[in-house]
Amino acid sequence: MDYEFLNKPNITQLIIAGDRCYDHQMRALLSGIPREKITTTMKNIDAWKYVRLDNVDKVFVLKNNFADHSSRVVFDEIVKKLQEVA
Amino acid sequence: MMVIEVLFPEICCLYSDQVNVEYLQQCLPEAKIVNTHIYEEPYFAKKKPDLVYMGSMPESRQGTVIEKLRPYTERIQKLIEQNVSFLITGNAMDVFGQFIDRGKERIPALGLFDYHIYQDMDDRHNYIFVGEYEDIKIVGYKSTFSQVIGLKGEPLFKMIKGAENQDDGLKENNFMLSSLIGPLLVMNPLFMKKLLKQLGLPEEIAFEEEAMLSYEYRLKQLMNPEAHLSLGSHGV
Repeated sequence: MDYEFLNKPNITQLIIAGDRCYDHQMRALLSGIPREKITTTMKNIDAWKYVRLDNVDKVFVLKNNFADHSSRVVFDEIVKKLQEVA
Repeated sequence: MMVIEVLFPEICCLYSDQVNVEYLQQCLPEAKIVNTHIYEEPYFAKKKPDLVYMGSMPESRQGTVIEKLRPYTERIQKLIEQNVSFLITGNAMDVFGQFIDRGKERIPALGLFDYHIYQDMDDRHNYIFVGEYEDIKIVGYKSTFSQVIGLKGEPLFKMIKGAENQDDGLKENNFMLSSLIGPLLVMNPLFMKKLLKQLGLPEEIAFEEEAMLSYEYRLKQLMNPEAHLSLGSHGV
């Protein structure tokens, strides 16, 4: 799995959620993403809680094929969070 | 300067085995990585690297790799005797036995060790493995068409849990063969430290805290009595 494309200065935060988050964290670190940009949570449905919206133009929710429900919840919660800020 | 030779990275690159090399480079930023391609003479042919790494390859290329290495069989034996470290993972192990039996054909291998391989391309085995190396536990996965037959000598990893009631790999001096696939060193930071110690280096690894989190979580999952041993054939 490639993480190199996420190793860019304009990507300010990477939240890795789910059962394999520690493995993905290692993969992200090996691709050169700074440790301080990475947050992990075992509960994928909680990912939205860690999103920082200050100075951010876009939030992407990237999911695997089996996370339709949880990614939808995360997406909806981020929208709510954005509406509160607006 | 520490020299790590990576054999045939353009061929022996399945299952993210090459991430082992990336992690070695992260742990040893001063080390020189020598990538030897299939059309090149191996670095070890005339010089003495500190570590030689070779990972999993398509079964269809095993014959090519064997014939490439065959002229250097005696040299490899000499390097083993001189305690040069080798780490051979996945089906790269097939290359070093007596032969690969594919039913209709038998491919002579390098003959450095007594075992042979029975290979059935219609019968893939995918399963978890938990083993022991000295005083540490090893976690890993196998995904293979190959069965190792007649393995003698000291296994690299003694089996604690696995679908096949068999230890894994072989260790002779510092020559280490394992049929485990993927980023073995990333998944096993304690084994990475053992490897560094074997190389005479301080046991300092990159991203130790994060690697240990991943390792301990996987070990706990795999040791769960309810964990599935077999991941099914053909990935089912």
